[in-house]
Amino acid sequence: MGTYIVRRVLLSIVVLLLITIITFLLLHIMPGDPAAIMLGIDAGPEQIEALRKELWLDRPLVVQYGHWLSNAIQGDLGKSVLYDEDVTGFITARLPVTMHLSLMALVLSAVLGVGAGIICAIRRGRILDSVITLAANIGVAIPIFWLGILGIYSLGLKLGWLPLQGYTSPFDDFWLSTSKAIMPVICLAIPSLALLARQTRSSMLEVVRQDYIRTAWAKGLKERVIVLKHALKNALIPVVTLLGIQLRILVGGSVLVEKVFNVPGMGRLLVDSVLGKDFIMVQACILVIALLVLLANLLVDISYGWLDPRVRYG
Amino acid sequence: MQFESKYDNRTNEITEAPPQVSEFRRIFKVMSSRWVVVFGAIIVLLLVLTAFLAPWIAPYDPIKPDLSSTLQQPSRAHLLGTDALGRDVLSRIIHGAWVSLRVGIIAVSIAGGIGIILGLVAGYFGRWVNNIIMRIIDAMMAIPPLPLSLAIAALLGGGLTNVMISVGISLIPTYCRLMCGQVLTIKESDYITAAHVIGASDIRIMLRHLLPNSFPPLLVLITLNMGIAILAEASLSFLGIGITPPAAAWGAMVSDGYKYLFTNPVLSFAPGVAVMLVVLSFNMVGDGLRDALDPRLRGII
Amino acid sequence: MAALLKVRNLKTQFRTEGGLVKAVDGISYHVDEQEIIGLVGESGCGKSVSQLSTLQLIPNPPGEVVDGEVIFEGKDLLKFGANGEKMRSVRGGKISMIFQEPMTSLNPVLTVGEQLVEMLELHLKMPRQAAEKRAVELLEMVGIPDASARIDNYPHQFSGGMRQRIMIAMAISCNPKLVIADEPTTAVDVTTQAQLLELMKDMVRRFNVSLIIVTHNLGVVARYAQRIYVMYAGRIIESGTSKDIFIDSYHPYTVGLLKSVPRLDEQRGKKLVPISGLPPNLVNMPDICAFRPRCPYATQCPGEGYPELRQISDQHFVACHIDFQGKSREFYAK
Repeated sequence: MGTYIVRRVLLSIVVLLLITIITFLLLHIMPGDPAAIMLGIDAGPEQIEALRKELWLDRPLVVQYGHWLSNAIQGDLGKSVLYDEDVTGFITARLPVTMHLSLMALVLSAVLGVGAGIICAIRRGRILDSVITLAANIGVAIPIFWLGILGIYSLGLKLGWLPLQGYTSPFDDFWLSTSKAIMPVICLAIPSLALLARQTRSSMLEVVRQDYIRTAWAKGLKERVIVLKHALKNALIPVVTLLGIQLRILVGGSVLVEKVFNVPGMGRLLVDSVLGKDFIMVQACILVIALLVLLANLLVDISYGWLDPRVRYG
Repeated sequence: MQFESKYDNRTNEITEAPPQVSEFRRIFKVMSSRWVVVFGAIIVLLLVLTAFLAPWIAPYDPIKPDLSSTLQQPSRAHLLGTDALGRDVLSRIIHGAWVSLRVGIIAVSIAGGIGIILGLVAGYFGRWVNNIIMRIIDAMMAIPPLPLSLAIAALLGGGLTNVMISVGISLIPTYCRLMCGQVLTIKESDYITAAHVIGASDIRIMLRHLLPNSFPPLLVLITLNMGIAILAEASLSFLGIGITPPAAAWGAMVSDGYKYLFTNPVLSFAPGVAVMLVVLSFNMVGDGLRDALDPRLRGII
Repeated sequence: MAALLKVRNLKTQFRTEGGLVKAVDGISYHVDEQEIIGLVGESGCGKSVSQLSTLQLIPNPPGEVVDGEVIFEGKDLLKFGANGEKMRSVRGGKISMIFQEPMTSLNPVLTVGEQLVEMLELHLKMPRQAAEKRAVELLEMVGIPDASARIDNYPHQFSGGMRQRIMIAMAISCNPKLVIADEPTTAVDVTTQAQLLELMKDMVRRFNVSLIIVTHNLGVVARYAQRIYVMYAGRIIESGTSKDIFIDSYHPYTVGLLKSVPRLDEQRGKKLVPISGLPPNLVNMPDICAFRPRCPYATQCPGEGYPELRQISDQHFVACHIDFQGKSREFYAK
C-alpha cells in the first residue's frame, strides 16, 4: 500500500508539472500579442511595451515559464489586468464559495446517486427502475443553466419559497446561506447524480452476475446482506473512479450555476475574466481548478486501495 | 452430417448451432426493441432535417428585427412568442438547430481525429511514447472541459469556428484514452502478431487492423459526444461566448430570455427544451448502440 | 439406505432470444445418505443447471424451474419460496455447493476468514470469536498451511488449488447433509485435481455427508462415485453403478464417451474414437432422441419419439430404443 501511494503521488507530481506547462502555454501559444489583446485597441504602443515588460513577455519562453512557475509556487499568480490587484487574493476569496457549493453537491449526488443506482439494480426491469433510469438519462442531458432558470422561475418567482439569487456564507447566517444554496446545489448535483446513478446501476448489475455472488446465494445469505456486503463493495470500485470525474463536472457546472444564481465564486470569476480578457486571471483560475481536480483524483486513487485489496497488496 | 433423414425438416429438426443472423439486422433488432432508442433516433433525424431545411420550414426570418411586435406571448401567429427584438422564437430555434448540429459534427471530428491518432500511437508504440502522451492527456483531464474550452475560446476570440475548436480540444482526452485502451487489448491478439510476422509496416497494422477493430466503441463514443458537444456549445453561448449576434444559438437564446423571465418565461424555456431533447436523444441512441454492439462496453464508455 | 435427496421429473427452462431452451427436461435421480454420486455429461448438457435448480439458484428471468419435485429430508424444496427463510436455511446449512471457478467464486474484497465466519454465524449461530476459531480449524483441516495467519488474507493471495480448498472448507463448515461439487477440479491442474478429489472423499467420510460430483470427465468419477448418471441434452440417458456404466455401458453415447477417453490399460496404438458431430442446440428441441444425429446406429434405430428410461438390470437404466442385449454391437453398425 505504501509503495502504491508513493507511486500515485509521484505520478501526480509529473502530471502537475504538465498542467503548469499547459496553463502557461495557454496564454503564450495563442496567436497575437497577449499584452495587446489584454489592453484592447485603445492602448498605445508604449503601454503595450510596458505591459510586455511587466509580464516578462520580452524574454524567451523558457525563462518566462521559470519565472512564472517560481512565482506561482510562492503563491504569486500575477496581477489582474482588469482589477489591477493580486490574482491570488481574488482566488482565495472566491474559492471557498465554490468549494462550499461543490462539496454539498458532491455529497448530495454521491448519496442519492449511489442509492438510486442500487434500487434500480435490485428492482431491475420494474417500474421504479424504468422511472429512475429515465430520470437519470434526462439528468445527464439537462442544461443546468436552463434548469437553474426554471428553478428561479418556479420556486423563486412563482411560489416564493426560495431566494432568487445570491450567496451568503454559512458562517454569517447559516439559514439564509442554506436557503440560498439549495437551488444552486441541486442544479450542480443533478448531472453527477444522474451519472452516478447510471454507473452504480450498471456496475451492480455486472457484479450481481459474478460467480462470487452465486456463491453468496448458495451460502444461504439474505438478499440484503448479499447486496450491501458482497455486491456493493465490488460495485463501488468503478463508481469511485467516477468520483474523480465528478469534481470535474461540478467545477465545470459551477461556471454556469454561479452565473445563473449570481454567486461570487471561482466559476463566476473565470467567466468574468474571460469576457474581460483578463488572461492572467484566467490562467490562475485554470491552474487552481486543475490542481483541485488533481488532488481529488489522488484521493480517489488512494481510496481505491482501501476498497480493492488487489490494489492494496498488488 | 450423416443424419439427413425424415426428421430433418423445418418443424422438427435438431440443429447443432444457433441460426446465423446478420450482424446488422441483429443490431437493428436490439436497438428498435427499446422505445427510448427509437424515440432518440427519431429526434436526431428530426434535428438533421430541421437543420438542413431551416430556411424553408421556419415561418419567419430569424434575424430581422420586427420592432412592431416585440415580446409577444405565444399566439397562433407566433407559436412560441417573440423576443425583445420582435423575432419569432420558433424560427430562431429552428435556425439554431443548424448551429448546434454543425458544432456537434465539427467539434467531434476535431476531437476524434486528434484523440484517435494520439491514442493509436500511444497504445501501439507503448513505453515512453505512451507515457508522454498519456501523462499529457492526464494533465488535460485535470482541467474540466467547460473551463478549458472557455479559456481557449477566450484566447482565440469569439465566433462559431473558435467555439468548435475549443469544444473539440476539450473532448480529445476521452478519445485518446479509449483508443489507447482498445489498442493495448487488441495488440495482444494473434492476428496482430501474425501481421508482424509477415512483415506488415507499423502504419499498415495501425490503420488496417487496430483502427477497424476499435470501431464499435469509437462509434458509440462519437454518438454520445455529439450530445456532449451540443451541450457544451449551448453552455458557452449561454455564457456569452461563441456565436456573434444576431445569429441564433440555443444557449444564447436562454441567456437573452433570462432578462424577461417574469413576463415571458417561454423565451428561456423553449430553447432549453430543444437542447435537452437533442442531447438526450444522442445519449439514448449512443446507449442503444453500445448495448447492441457490445454490452461489455458498459462502464468503459 | 434411505434416500436423502429424491429429484423427480425436474424441468428447468430458459427463455432466450432464439427461443425456449429446455436445459433440464424432466430428470429424476436420487442420492442416498453418505453416497457419492457422479453426474456426467458434456458442457451444456444441463448438469450444472439441474444442480442449481435443486437449490433454486437459477436466475429468473431468464430461467425458471417449471416442473418437478426436489424431496430433501421429506420436504419438497421447490415448494419453499426461492429466497425465503426456509430455502436459505437449506442453502449452505443442509446442502452446500462447490463451484467450478475457484478464481472467481470467492468474493475478491472480503477476507477468506470473513467469508467462512459469516456462514458459521448464520447457520450454526456461533458467536464471532468461536466462529473465527472454527474457521481456522476448518482451513487447517483442508490443508491450508499457517491457517491462523492466512485467515486474514484475500482470495487473490491464494493459488487456484488453495482457493478450491477454501471452497471445500466453506462447503463442509456448517455440517451439511449433502455437498454438490460442480466441476470442482476442471479449472485446476492435474496433480491438484487428484489432491482435491482425495480431500473431498476424506471430508465426505469424516462428516458423513453425501456428495454429488458434477463433471464432464469420466475419469474424475471413476474412482470415487458409487453410482453414476449420464446426461445428454437435458435428460438422463443412462444410470447405474460404476460397474454398470464403465463395464456394461449400454447407451451408444456412454460407449462413445468411454472410447474417447485415453486409458492406460489399453494396448498401445489403439485409436481414440471421438463422437462425431456436435452436441445439439437446445433451442426448440423436438421430441425425439437427442443423440440420434450423432448415433452410429441411427439407421437401424426402430424408435420414434423420445425413448423412456428402461431398466435393464438391478440398478441399471438406459434411454435407448435399440435392444443390444444378446447381440453383437457390430451387428448394428454398418
